[in-house]
Amino acid sequence: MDRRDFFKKMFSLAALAGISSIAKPIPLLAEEDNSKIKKPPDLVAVRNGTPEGMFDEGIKALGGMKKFIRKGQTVVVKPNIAWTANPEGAANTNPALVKRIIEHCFDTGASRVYVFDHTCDDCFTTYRVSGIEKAAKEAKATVVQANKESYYQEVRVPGAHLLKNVKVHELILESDVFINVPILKDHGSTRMTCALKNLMGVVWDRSYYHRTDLDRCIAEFPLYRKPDLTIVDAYNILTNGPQSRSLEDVVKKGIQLLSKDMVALDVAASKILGEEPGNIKYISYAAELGLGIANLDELNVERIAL
Amino acid sequence: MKKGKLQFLRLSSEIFFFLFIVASFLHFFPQRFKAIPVRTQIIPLAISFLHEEFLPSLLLLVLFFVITIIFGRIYCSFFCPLGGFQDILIRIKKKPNFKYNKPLTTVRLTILLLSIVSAISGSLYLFSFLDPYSFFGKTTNYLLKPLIALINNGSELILRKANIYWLRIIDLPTINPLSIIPFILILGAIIYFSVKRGRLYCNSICPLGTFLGIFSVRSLYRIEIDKASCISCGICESVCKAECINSKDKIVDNSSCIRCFNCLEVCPKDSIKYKRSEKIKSIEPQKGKKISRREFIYSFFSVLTFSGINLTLRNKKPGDKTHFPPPTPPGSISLERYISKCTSCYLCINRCPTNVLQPSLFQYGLLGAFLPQMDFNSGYCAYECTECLEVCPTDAIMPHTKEEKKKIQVGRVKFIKDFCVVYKNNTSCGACAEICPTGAVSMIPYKGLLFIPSTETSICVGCGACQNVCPARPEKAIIVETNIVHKEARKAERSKTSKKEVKTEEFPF
Repeated sequence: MDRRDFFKKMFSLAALAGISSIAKPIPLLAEEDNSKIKKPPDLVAVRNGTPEGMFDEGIKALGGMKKFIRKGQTVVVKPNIAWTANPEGAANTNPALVKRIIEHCFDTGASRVYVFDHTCDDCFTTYRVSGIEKAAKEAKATVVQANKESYYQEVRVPGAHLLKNVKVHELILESDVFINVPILKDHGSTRMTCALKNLMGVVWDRSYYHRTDLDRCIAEFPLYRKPDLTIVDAYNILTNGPQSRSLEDVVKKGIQLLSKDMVALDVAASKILGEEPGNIKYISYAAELGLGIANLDELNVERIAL
Repeated sequence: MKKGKLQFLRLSSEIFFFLFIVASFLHFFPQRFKAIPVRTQIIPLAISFLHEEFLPSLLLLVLFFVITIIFGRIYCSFFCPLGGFQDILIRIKKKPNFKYNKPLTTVRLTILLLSIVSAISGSLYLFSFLDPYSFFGKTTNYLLKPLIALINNGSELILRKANIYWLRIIDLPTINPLSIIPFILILGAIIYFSVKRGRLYCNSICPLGTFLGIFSVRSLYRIEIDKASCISCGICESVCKAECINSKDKIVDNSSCIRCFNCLEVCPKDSIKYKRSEKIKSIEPQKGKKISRREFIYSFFSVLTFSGINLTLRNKKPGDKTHFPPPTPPGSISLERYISKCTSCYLCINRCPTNVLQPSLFQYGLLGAFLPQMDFNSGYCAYECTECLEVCPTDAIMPHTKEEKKKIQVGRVKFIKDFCVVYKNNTSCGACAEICPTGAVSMIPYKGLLFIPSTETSICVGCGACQNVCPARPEKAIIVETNIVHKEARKAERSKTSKKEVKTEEFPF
């Protein structure tokens, strides 16, 4: 490179820099748009739609399923299928929502999608009665049983004090992407079951949780693995749960929440349920462990009304 | 009918009932028809009819009786699953070389009498081991099911590693060493007899075989040897697994003949035939069939002693105030009725989706030994499930609709606060209230943010879910106390919604 060449290049670089510095103020006029592109919302709340429609909008606002799934990855979708109750009973996650999530997974290029829950009632009955087995199979997902110990493998939970080791369903260990799909419900002893508590359905020995310290164990589990995405089904919620004993306990809220942050989701969910987040001990425990942010004001929350 | 066709009919019927009874034990049989194969078994039919006067049972019984009078012990080779099981074992022997043996008349009549005496005195424990169907049920539970489960679960594991989720894991039955000792003894005898002496079990022990044999002797159609053409070659005798053909004297003992029709196939002279007997009146009394005085005395006194023991045991009823036996399945109405009707075929245990039904030891007393019990340490009774009520072939567990079953109270919940995790550790739990299907257990405010269980026994059905999930150790903090006679649970009033209503027009955050 000779001197002339050098100057040529230098000048052109300087000119480029100059142009770009001139061009910069223009997007400042549309600052909101810019921040959206740069910083996607931490939590998306959608209301006034069908479970499927709200998911379509919600995931779009989060930047689409491609933010969470790459081509060829395996996905495990973990709804709440704990009880023998039909979809109207609102004890289990809405089957239509589960189906739509699976469809999005495959559209984004997921190689396989698994659905399971370690149920409270007999799993074949709850899978059938909840409508989730049928919905998941229609969307070509693999429905896996989780009611036998041989599906579980022991793992170490780093940083945990009470839940140091836990037997986790092998699909949680093997799958690339973990999607948590709880339904928001009242709960007799922990006051609420939603994002964090739904993860009790991927472990074998729930009795250990209850025996040791239910709230702390729930809070410590995500130290092992946090779901890559959590979708809270608050379309119909159960105000006297967790079992569905009467349709009069079902209240239609028509809301869906999406986020990676389970603590923030549980705080928002508790307000939908009409419960003080401070009364739900595992939320504050999880926040203390640094698993999420409990103060919604610190977060970029996008609210969508359809 | 051609002789080959007769053999074909028998074999297909035997295989059909053997496979379908196994299938209905292992959940492979279609849900709608699951109770049908086991409803073809004579002793369960008789028990069901004698106690409940169930009309279809009577019709089937009459049908079997008519069949036996016309054709002989058809049941033993066409319907009996234990017969099928023995025939499989007999086939292990490559070349059959059976020999005629005199029937053990005294032994088999004594066993028949003992079984009847025990049934009259209100317990079926002899039938539980001697009724071929019930014993076959146990064989399925203890032997065939574990075998199939191991093969199935092994394949499941391999398929699962290849991401194929077609198979379901089959639970291995929990085996209590004490409860299977009598089972193993009898099974050992059956296996030994079959391999060595063919259907000796059927002709010396099985009370049903003996009973049917009484009518089979003079049935309309019998196996007979044409004395003129028979050359006493002994081929028919060697293939006769009932050991009832005396080829030397050209006589067939039709009380022992199980109508397997093997002999018809092999006769080189076509002298042995299954045909309508012409000389009904001129049956010559067979030699050596008379019971000697000594045998009679032995038999008489064993029956007498046995009756005495049974009556004594019967008056000692289980379930005193201090120690409760485990609850009996919903639909069994009372412990006493349950003991008098259940033959422990273990079909309910095998069908139970939650594994709450398990073989007992002596929790129900000696007369109720080994009956299925509700074991809340291994499972709990699913509220919506009526599986055992649907399948019970003796109606020891009476059929009820789902709504009726939900009201049957087999026991009542009892909360022991001192053992409770909430009280001991001051941490939240609520496992019992969470799983309670009726609301008989609920959580009430305790201290601070804690809630503690509270019980309402009148709406409790005694399903044992709370006891099963209670995490407290070593003693559970919530248990079910048995109702010796089942009661009706009150319908639960709907508990009030306690939450504040939040309007949906806005996001509440």
